[in-house]
Parts: sequence; structure tokens; C-alpha cells
Amino acid sequence: MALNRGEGCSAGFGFYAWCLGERCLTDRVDGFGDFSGLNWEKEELYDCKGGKFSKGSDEIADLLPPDPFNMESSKEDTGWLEDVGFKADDNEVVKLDSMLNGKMRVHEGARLQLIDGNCGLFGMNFREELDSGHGLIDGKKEIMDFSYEKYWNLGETTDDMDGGNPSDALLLALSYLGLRDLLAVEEVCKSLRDAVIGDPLLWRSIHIDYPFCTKITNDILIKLTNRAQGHLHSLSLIHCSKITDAGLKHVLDRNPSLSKLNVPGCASLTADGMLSNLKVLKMAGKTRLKYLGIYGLFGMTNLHIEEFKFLIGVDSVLPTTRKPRFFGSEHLRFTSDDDRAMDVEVCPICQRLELVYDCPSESCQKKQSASQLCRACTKCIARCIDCGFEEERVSVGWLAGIEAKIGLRQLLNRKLRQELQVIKHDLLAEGLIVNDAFQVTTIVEKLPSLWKDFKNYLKHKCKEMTIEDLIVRLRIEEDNKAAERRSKGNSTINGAHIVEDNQNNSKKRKKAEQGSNQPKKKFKGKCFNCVKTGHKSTDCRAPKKGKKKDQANMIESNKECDDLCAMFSECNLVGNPREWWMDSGATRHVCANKELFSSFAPAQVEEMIYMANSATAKVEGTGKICLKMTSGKVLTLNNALYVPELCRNLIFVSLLDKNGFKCVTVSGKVVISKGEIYVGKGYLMEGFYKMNVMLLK
Amino acid sequence: MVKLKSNDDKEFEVEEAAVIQSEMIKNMIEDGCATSVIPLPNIDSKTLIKVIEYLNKHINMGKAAETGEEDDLKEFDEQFVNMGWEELFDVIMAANYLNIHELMELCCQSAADRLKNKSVRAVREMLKITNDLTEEEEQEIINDAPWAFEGPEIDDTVN
Repeated sequence: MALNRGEGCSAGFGFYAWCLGERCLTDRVDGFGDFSGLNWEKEELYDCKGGKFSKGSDEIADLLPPDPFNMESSKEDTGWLEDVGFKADDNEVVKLDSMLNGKMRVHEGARLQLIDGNCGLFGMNFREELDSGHGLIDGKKEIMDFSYEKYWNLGETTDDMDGGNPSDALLLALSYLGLRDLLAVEEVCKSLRDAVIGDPLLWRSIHIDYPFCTKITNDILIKLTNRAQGHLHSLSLIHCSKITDAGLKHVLDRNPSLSKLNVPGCASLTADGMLSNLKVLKMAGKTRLKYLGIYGLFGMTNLHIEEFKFLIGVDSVLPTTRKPRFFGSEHLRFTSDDDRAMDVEVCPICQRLELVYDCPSESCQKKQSASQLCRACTKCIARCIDCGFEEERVSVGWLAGIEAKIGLRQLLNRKLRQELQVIKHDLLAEGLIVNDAFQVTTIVEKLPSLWKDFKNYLKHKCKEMTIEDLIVRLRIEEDNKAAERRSKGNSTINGAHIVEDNQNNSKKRKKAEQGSNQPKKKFKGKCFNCVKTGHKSTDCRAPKKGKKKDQANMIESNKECDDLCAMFSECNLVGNPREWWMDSGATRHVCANKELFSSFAPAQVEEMIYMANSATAKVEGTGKICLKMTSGKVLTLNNALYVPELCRNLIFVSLLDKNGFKCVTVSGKVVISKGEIYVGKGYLMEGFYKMNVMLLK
Repeated sequence: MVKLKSNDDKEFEVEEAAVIQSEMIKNMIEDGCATSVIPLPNIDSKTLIKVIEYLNKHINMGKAAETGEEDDLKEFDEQFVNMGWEELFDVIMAANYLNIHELMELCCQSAADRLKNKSVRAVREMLKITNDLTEEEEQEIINDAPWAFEGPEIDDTVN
């Protein structure tokens, strides 16, 4: 209906005829042999789409079918023109063209269809009501003798045709528009206005939420709902705090066929008021209400809930086949596919009236009705707004158990913990007991990267290990490390460059999956990294946002890590040893180029620096290095280590700081100054800051 | 295989499994009217190519849900509706004509999304519609629902 009315007013010149299947045509029509002629006609008509004739000539006769119906054309074909005030004369037809100013629209779907015949193949998709108000001419008798009806619809040809009229497709899409957009479209032009105002079907479903919820008053609501002309089907008011019981009553009175009413967070509505409104509706015996969203109504009690349930005629028991409801950012939205009658439930845990959510874990959904443990309101189980998973509560107990057992709490990083929680939760829901092998693998996985060697050793060497074995091994390793640390404390070796690497992430993850023996379950929420659904940001293959590629030098402040240990993210880089790099992770200035030392003393005792990959590099000596910055100032590095095995010369930032230098990193640059004096600067390169240095012999 | 003919006389061969997503053609096939070429007088070849692309992609809709290809399909849909207004409207008309519910829904929703929170001026410009309302008429509409035409959330940009 909407479509056709729209066409009536939007298409300046609608050509309605009905479509003929080739077969049906030849079967049924005798006087209609020239089908190719018809095709030609359609082609030409189609050229005219978009409001302009492609043939800009004045020969409308060319554009009209020459003789599509195989009749003597002049009389019959122009007969309809006479009816609207044109003479049946070829010249006049030309005038019609010029009058329409070349902007005449021939309806894109110039449809020819067999109506009379029972073929109906093409017919079933078209609604053929035509609005007689737009100069419809029933050409039944005049145009055709045989059993076709051909509708010519000459719409109002408005003078103002500069820009063009809305496409018919837009009218089809109107029903997908939201409330505000409908109102905006209404103001665009006449035909759209008529389409929007005149079609109550567009207004059957009214949904108002942020940002318009605060602007909607009773009066506005009544005006809007009146557009549905009493056929309002669903009304959804989210947080519309100005709507009162009286206003809603008005709407309900006029729209008895309302089947969905959703008013969560409407603060001015009361449970009592709602109840009496619905009772009135019920009294009149015409309530068709199937869904009631009443979360946040003032003064609601369990009694109210029971009454509401009675009023909309549902049992108080949850249907067994109900769809699960998950917490998420859209939790206040109208859920039309939710087959529950009400949004509010008694929370199985706290017994209060709340929105109760299901657990999004797939294993829980299988036996949702049985295990109610993870069904609760958000106050009982805090859920993550993105994925709906419980935030902390789930497996804290399990983790705490392991942590207490082996004292690894400080080693667990948060990300791993979360992953474990999810896995653990699934396992619990499946009723599985976490076996030793699994626990062992997860713990091994959780070892910090400083334990990487040991971790790899465990992975490679050990086939099966019980949790106790693992604990013993860990203890031994811990003792070893502590002993090493003590011995190092006695030696003269100073720490250089203690870093955490992150390059083994992908490997870890793979291993973790294998270790868990758990089919990777589909993740519900959105990825924080790439915004696609279905996986976590940790599993995301898209490039990580906001992280530098070579994020190498995060210093680990943990006490455990004050081992002498250096790690370079790109050990095989052949750098120009004359370049100097700022490094916040090192503990000493390090230089690999002996030429750069202005004074040099060979090492007295054997010193080593340690890298994270357990490699060591020999310190050959120490000395003083004078760096002439491009600013002309000279930066002297005392006690720099000469380590020929390194590929980069490193300036240690905090040592500079200790000597009163100020290092500021800003927008890819590092600026060193002392007091008010500018000393030098460097640029971000390959993930490090490279200093602008001239060499001083 | 079913043969479809666009209004500029180009023929396309489409798998039956794909084409029966169109209610109209499905009915035709069931009634045995689709033995030869099916002429589609309302659809030009450009639009028809688009529609067929969609049909072929959505051929195994049910299966996709099981095999976890939903994301893939979603991505395709997103890409699919990434076209100009003219083209979109053509596809909507074609979908309406062929009665392909999913495609209709996809395209109409895309159109609606593009218009979301747009100002009246922006809508006119985007769709190249001339305002033929008098000032009084316009004012009348605004007075009816002033809240819908003001506020920071109204988007006046054209894109």
C-alpha cells in the first residue's frame, strides 16, 4: 500500500501495465504476437529511468510503445490522453513531452502483467491498488479489447522538478527508519511527507531511546502514537523520564492492539499506575499484550510481578525452550526475538526483582535450566559488558587454590589469568575435574619470560609430570636462580639492560591451546583490537592497535628480575656501531666500538653482561666516551662498558638522569637538556631513539 | 541452472539453489514456468549482476551458521551494500521485484543506516531531492516534533 501510494505521487508519470511471461503470452493471447516489440518498448522505457529521457529529443512517440499491443495505435493509445485533456493527435503528444519538460519519470518497473489470466506468476509480487486520486484512468475498455487491464497512472506533474523526486526504493526503505529519521525524512519533500504521514504502518512500532528520551513528553508521545491511527503494535520507551502513567494510559486507550510495551527506566511511571492501566485494558477485554518491559518501575514488588504475569497471561515458570538472554551493551534494547513475556525476573541468587542474565558460555547454554548457578542479575554476578562473561568471581577459587599451592601468584600475569578463568569456567560447567597434565601445562605457560629457558626445557624434556613434580622442579629452579643472584652480588658485574621481551607471544598462545586439550570455543563478544566479533583481542590476527612494533625495552621492576640479564629484540641487526641509541632498559652505557672511547681501560676482572636468551657477552673494558651532539654540546659518558659483541651503542637514560640531565620524549623525538641548557636530541627509529651525534676523537 | 534475462537482453546462468532464494522465481520454478529463459523486465544487467553475486554468496546460508562462516558472510554483506545510492535503490527495487527477503532487508537497513540522524538538508542533498514544500508546510512539520530537528546529535554532513 505504501509503495503504490508513493508511486502515485512520486512518479510524475507512472506507467503501469502488467508483465507477461513469454509463454503465457503466446498461450493466451492471440492478437499479441509481437513480443519483441514489447521488449523493445521496455528497453526504451527503462532508458528513461532516473527522471530524464536519455533521448533528449522531443519525440515522445519514440519512447512510447509504437504498437505494443498490436493494435491500430493512434486511437486507442491516445485515448487515455484525451481523457486528461489532450487531443488524440501526434503533435499533441509532442506537446505533452515538452510540458513534462523532459523530467517525466516513467516508473522504473514498468510492469506488464497479465491480470486476467490465472498465470499469476509475475503477479503475486505486486500489489496493484492504485490511488484513483492521481488521475488514474481505467483504460480497460478504451485501450484494449482483449482481456488485459492496463493501468495508466498520470500523477501530478509538479512544476518544481529541478532536483528530482525520491526513488521508490526509498519508500520501501522507510519502514526501516527510526523514529527521528522518519520525522526528518518527512520534511524533505512533499511526496515523502505524504508517504510518512499517510502510512500508519510506518508508525506501528515506536522506539524511543537516547538521545531523544529526555525530550519526549506525554503530549509528544500521544501525537506520535496517534500517527499509527490506533494500530500501534509495539511501544518502546527507554529511559523516557517525562512520560507519566496518565500519558501512557492515553496511549493504551487508543491503541488496544498493542502487543509489546517496553518502558525500562521510565522513572515517572509507577508499578501501581502501570498495573491499573493494564487492568483497565484487560477489563475492556481487548488486551493483546505479549511482552512487558518494566524494569525500573517505581515501587515494584513481587506482588506486582505476579499480577502483571496474570494480566498478560503467562505462567510464572520460565519456558524451558526460552532463548538465553545475555548481558551486553544492548541489554536495554527491545528484544523482539526474546520469547519471554517480561524482562524482570526474580534473581535466583538474591531474590530481588532484576534483569537476570544467562551465562554466554556455550556449555552452560546446553543445560541452562539445570544449572542456575551462572544465571543471576548483574549485582550478583558482575558481567563484562562486551562479552557477557562473569568478570571475576568464576574461577578465582580455583586459581587461588593453585596459587596457594605453589606460591606463584606474583608470576601470573593478568591476561593469562583471564584466559584461564574462561577455560576453567567451561570445564566446570561441563562437570570436568581439571586434570594434572592440564594444570601443569597452564602453570608452565604462566612462567614469566625470564624463566623462558627453564620453560622451554620443561616443554621439551618432560613427557608427563604431576603437579607435585612441577612444584619441586620450580622450587629447585627458583633456588638456583636465587643462588646465582647471590653469587653475582659478590662479583663486580653490574647489571646492564634488564628487559622483558614480548616476541614469543604467538608461540605461547599456540602451545596453550594444545595444552588445554579443549576445543577452542567460539567467543561471543567483540574483539577489542579489530572490533570484529567472534574472537578476543588476544587471538586477533589484525595488527595490534596502538602498540609499537618493536616494543622491546620494558623493564621488569619485579624483585625476581634483578638478575644480570640483557635482551635485545634484534640481536642480529648489524647496526652502525657509530650510532648511539637511547635505552631506558640498560643499567650502563654500552659501546661496541673501541674507537669511540676517548679513554679506555681494559677490564681487570672478567665481567659479563647477560642477555635474556641466556647468552652472555664479555665486557672487555670500561672507559670514557665523548659524544659531540649536533647542537655542539659535548656529552661525556663515564664508565661506559666496551662490549664488542653488541651491535648497538646504548646510552642509559636513568644514568643521565642521575647526573642532572633531563630527557623528554615527545612525538617521536627525545630531547636532552641539563638545567636550562639544551644538549641534544634524537629521533625515533626502528623503535629506539637514535641520538644525533657527531664524533669527537 | 536457471537462465535469467535482464532488460537489456543479457542472459545470466544461475544455479537453481541460488536463485530459489527469490520467492518469485521459486514459485515460477515450482509451477514449471522456468524451463526457458526468465525475462526480468525491471532489472538491468548491472543490477542483476549484483543480485546474482549476492545470491551465490548466500547459497548456503543455513550451512554457514554451522561452519562458522557467519563472519565471512557478514563481511560480504558489509562490502556488498557499500555502493552508491542509485545502485542501492536499484538493488532494492530488484530485491522487491524478485522477492528476496534477506537482500531487501539488508539493503533497506543499509539505506536506513545511512540516513540515521541526518539533518533534513543532508538527506535532500544525499538523495538529490528537491524541496517542494512551502515554508509553512515545513514549519508545520517542525512544530509537530521540534525535538527531532534540533540537538547536537543531528548530523548535517553529506556522506
